[in-house]
Amino acid sequence: MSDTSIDKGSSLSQAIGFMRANRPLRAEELCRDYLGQKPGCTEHLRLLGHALMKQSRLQEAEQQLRLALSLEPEFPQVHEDLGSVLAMQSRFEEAIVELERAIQLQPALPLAHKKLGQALQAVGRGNDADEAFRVYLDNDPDRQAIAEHVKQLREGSREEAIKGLRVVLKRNPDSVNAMRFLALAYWQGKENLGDAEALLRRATQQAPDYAGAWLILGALLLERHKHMEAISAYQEVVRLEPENAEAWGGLGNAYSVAMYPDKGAEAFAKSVAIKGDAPGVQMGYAHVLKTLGDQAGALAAYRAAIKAKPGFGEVYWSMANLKIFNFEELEVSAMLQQIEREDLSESADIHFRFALGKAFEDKKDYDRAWHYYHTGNERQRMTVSHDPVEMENRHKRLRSVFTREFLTEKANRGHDVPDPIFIVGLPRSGSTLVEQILASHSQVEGTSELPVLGKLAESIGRYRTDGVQYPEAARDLRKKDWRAYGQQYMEESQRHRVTDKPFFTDKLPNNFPQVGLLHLILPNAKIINARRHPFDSCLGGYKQLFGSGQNFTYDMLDLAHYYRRYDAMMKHWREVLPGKVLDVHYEETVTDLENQVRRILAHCGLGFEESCVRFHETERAVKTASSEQVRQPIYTGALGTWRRYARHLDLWQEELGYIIDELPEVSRSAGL
Amino acid sequence: MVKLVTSSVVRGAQQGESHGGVYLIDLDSQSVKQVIDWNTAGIDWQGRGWDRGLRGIAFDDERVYIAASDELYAYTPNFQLIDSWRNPYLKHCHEIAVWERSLFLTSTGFDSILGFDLDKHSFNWGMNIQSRLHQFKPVGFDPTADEGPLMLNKLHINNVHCNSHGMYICGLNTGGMLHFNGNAINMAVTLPQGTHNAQPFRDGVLFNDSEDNVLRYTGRGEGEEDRAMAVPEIDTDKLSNRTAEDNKLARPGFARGLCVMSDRVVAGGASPSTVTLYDLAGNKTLLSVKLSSDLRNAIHGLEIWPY
Repeated sequence: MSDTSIDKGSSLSQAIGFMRANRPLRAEELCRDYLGQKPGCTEHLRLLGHALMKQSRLQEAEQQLRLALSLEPEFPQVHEDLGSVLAMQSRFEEAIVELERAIQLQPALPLAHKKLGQALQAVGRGNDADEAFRVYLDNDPDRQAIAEHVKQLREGSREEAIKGLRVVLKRNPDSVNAMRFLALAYWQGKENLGDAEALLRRATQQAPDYAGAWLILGALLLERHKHMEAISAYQEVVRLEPENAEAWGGLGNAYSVAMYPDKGAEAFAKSVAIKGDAPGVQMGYAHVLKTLGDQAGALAAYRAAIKAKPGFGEVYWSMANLKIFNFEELEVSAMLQQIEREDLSESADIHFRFALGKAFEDKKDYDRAWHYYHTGNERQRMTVSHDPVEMENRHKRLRSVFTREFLTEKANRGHDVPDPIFIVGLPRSGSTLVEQILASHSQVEGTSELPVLGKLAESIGRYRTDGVQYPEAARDLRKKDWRAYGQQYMEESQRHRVTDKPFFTDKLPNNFPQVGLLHLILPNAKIINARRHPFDSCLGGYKQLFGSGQNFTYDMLDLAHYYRRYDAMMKHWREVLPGKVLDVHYEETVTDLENQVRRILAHCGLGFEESCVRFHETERAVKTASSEQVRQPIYTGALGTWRRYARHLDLWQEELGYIIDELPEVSRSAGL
Repeated sequence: MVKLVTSSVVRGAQQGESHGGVYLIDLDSQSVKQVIDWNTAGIDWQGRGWDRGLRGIAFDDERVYIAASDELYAYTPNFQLIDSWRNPYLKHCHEIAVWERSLFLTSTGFDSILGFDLDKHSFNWGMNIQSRLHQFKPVGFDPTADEGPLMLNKLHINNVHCNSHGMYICGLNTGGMLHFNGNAINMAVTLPQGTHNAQPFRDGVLFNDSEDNVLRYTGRGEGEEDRAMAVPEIDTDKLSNRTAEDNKLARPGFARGLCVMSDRVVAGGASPSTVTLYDLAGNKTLLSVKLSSDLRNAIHGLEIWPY
C-alpha cells in the first residue's frame, strides 16, 4: 500500500543517496513511488532518467526526460540530460540540439559545454568542438589548470605537471581528473607508485564510473604484481565500456600473469575481435595460447602482430621461444633487414639477434647462430645489472648462518605440512621436465615458479633498527617464528593453486640458496635439484632472452661464475643436510626415464604412476621457456648440444672443468 | 559497577535509517542504553560522506570527546553536546587518544595524525606519515595552514595509541604497528593485514585481527601466552539487512573496538554490534552483550566509562 504523505524533499534526498551509493534500482523505485502520486514532478522525472541511465536503460531514460520537458520545456538541466542520453546512443546530431538549448537557457552549466564539444567532435565539427571545449575550460579554473598540466606532461615537463596537479588537488581534493593525471605523472617517472595507486583508488572510489581511471589503475596494479586486483580493475572498465579493446587486452594480460590462461585467452579474443591491429594485444594473445598448448593459434597471433608492426622484435623472439618451431625463409630475411635499420630500438635489435640465433641454429649454421646469440647477449648485458661479488658475499653469509649446528639446533620448529615439492637449480636445466613428471601424478598439482620464498626470506629482519638483516637476522628468530614463516609460505602459495591435491610443486630455480631456510620453516617439504651438464646449462641460459631477471645469463663469465657459486652452494647443502636434496641429472632422465621417475617419486614419498612416464600427455598450462618441449615425448636431441659450439666455449672449459669431472658418466659423455 | 562506552557505525545506511550512535553498557546487568542516536544528534547532514557514524572515544576531565569522520565532538558526561571542531586535514577519522594535554586523532584520508590542544580547543599539530617501500617518514605540518599533505589514504591508518614510550600507529596498509619516538617512525611489530586497534600490551601487542575474526595477543616469548580469542559466532538467520548489497558493505564477525580492563581482561567489539569480555590469562570468554542484529551495524570505539 502506498504512503500518500511522501515528502518531496525527503524522497528526492533518499533517491539521491541511493544514486550516490551506486544503487540506481532503489533510486528508481523511490522515484516511481513518488511519481505514482504526483506524476508531474519534473525533478523526480529527471532523477528517474538518471537512475535509468545508470542501468543503461537509455530509451526508457529518454522517454522520462522527454516527458519532463513536455511539462517544463525550459528546464536547462533536463535538456542537458537528454543530450547525454542521446549521445550515449550515438545520436549526436540530436544531442547537439539539446545541449545547445541547455546552454542557451543556462550558459554556465558546468559540463554541458564539454558534452557539446564531444558531440560536435563525434560528428566531425572540429572547430565548433574546440570552441565548446574552450568555453567549458574557461568556466572552471581547475579544469583549465588540469588541461594545462596534462599538456606539460605530454610535452615532457613532468616535474612542472606534478607540481601543478598537486596544487589543484590541494585546492580541490576531490578532483578525480587531477588524481588521475597526477597518478599518471608519477607512473611515467616510475616513482611514487604507491602514491599513484592510492590516487587512482581514490578517484575510482569517488567516481565509480570513471573508466579512464580504472584503466590506468588496472595497468598500474599489474605492474605492481597485484594481479587479482588488476583483474578487478579491468573488469570494471569492460563493464563500463564493453567495446574497450585496450581494457579487454589488459584483462587478458592480468588473467595470464595470474595463471588463468583460459580466461586470459577469452579476454584477448574479445580485444582482438574489437580491434585486430593492436600488436601488443596480439602478442599477449599468442603468449597465452602458447601456454595453453595451442601452437598453431599462437603462431597465427604472433604473425598478426608482425603484420601490424613489422619491427616488433619481441614477437620474433617469442616465436623462436616456441623452441620446436622453425622460421620460414621470408621471416629470416625480414629479421636480417630489420637489424640493418638505423632507427631500430635497442630492445628490438636484441630480440631480433636472439631470434636469428635460433633461426641459424635450426639451419645448423652454428657459427652464424653463435654470432647472433653472442652479439645479442653483449647488448643485453649492457641493459641489465648483475653483481657477481654481491652474490658471492650473500652466498657466503648464507653458508655461515645455515651451518650444520644451526640447522640441528633449530630443527623441528617449522610448519610440519608435507605439501610442497621444491625444484631448484639453474634455468634451462630440466626443471620443467621434472615438474611435468610430478604434475602428471594424481596427487600433485604443478603450479609454476612461485615468487614466494625469496620475498619471505627478504622480509626476515626487514624492520630491525640495528641494521641486522637476513640471513643473520634468522639467528634471532624464535621457535614460533619458524613455524609462522612456514605457515606464511603455505598461505601465499595457496593463492597460486587451483586444485585440492595434497602436494604441489614450486619450481623457481633461484630458490637454491634458500634450502636451509626452507628446511627449517617447512621441514617436511621435498627438494629436488635439477642438474644438467654445466655447458648445456650455461648454453641454455645464454641462448635465452628472459622476460625479466636471470641477469647473470648474458655474459659468459657471469654464467660460469654463477654456476660455480651454485655448485658450491649445493655442495654445502649436501654436507649440512645429507639426503635432503635429490639431484636429478637431465641426461639420466632422458636416457633412463622410468627409473628416474621412480627415483623422483620415491624421494617425494609418492607411489609410482604410469602417467608420470607419459608426462607429455598431461594437459596443463606451462609458462616457462620449455613449455613446448615438455609436451613432446622424451627425446635425446638436447643432450650435449654444447658440442656444436665447443670452439666458442674455452672460457667455460677453464672455469667449469672440475665440475664436469664429478658428473655421472652419462652426463659427461652426452652428445658424443 | 563497571560500565563500558561504545560507538557504532552503520555502513551504507541512508537518511531515515539507523546510523548507530553511542551506547553505555552495564556489565553487571549486561544491559545497554543508547545515549546518542546519530539520527537525532542535531548533526548537520550536508556535506557528509557515506561513512557516517561515530568512532573513537576519549576523555578529558568532564568532557567526552567523540570523533566522527570529519569532525570532533565534545559532550558532557550526560551527553549534552558542548562543541564541535573541524579541520581541513581531518578526513575519515577512526580512533583518538589523549596524552598529556593533547588529543590525537587519526586522519585516515590524509595518512596523518592530528593533534588537538585540550586547553585551547584547537588543532595545533599535524604529522603526515610518508611511506616508500618499507620505510616510513614523519613529516610535520601545520593543520591551520595550506601547506599540508595530499589526501591519498595510502596507509589507511586506523589507530593511534600513546604512552610514555611514544606514539603507536597502525593501519590496514602499514604492515604492522609503527612507533613514533618524536623524531623517527619505525616498525614496532609486523602484524597481519586487516588489523585494527593495535596497541602495546604487557610485553607484546594486542589487536583485532579483523580478517580472521579474532582478538589476538602476541607476546615476545615462545607463544605460551599468545592468545587468539574468536569473536562470538552469530546465527546469520537472525540478522537483519543481509541482502547481497549489504553483504558487500559488511559481514558478521568483523572484529573492531578494543579496550584494556586489566592485565588479564580485555573487551573487544565485533559486528553486528557486540561487545565481549575476554579473560586472556584464563583463555576464555567471560560475557558477551549484543547491541544490534543489523549486519551493517559494527562497533567502532570502545572504552571504560570513567564517570
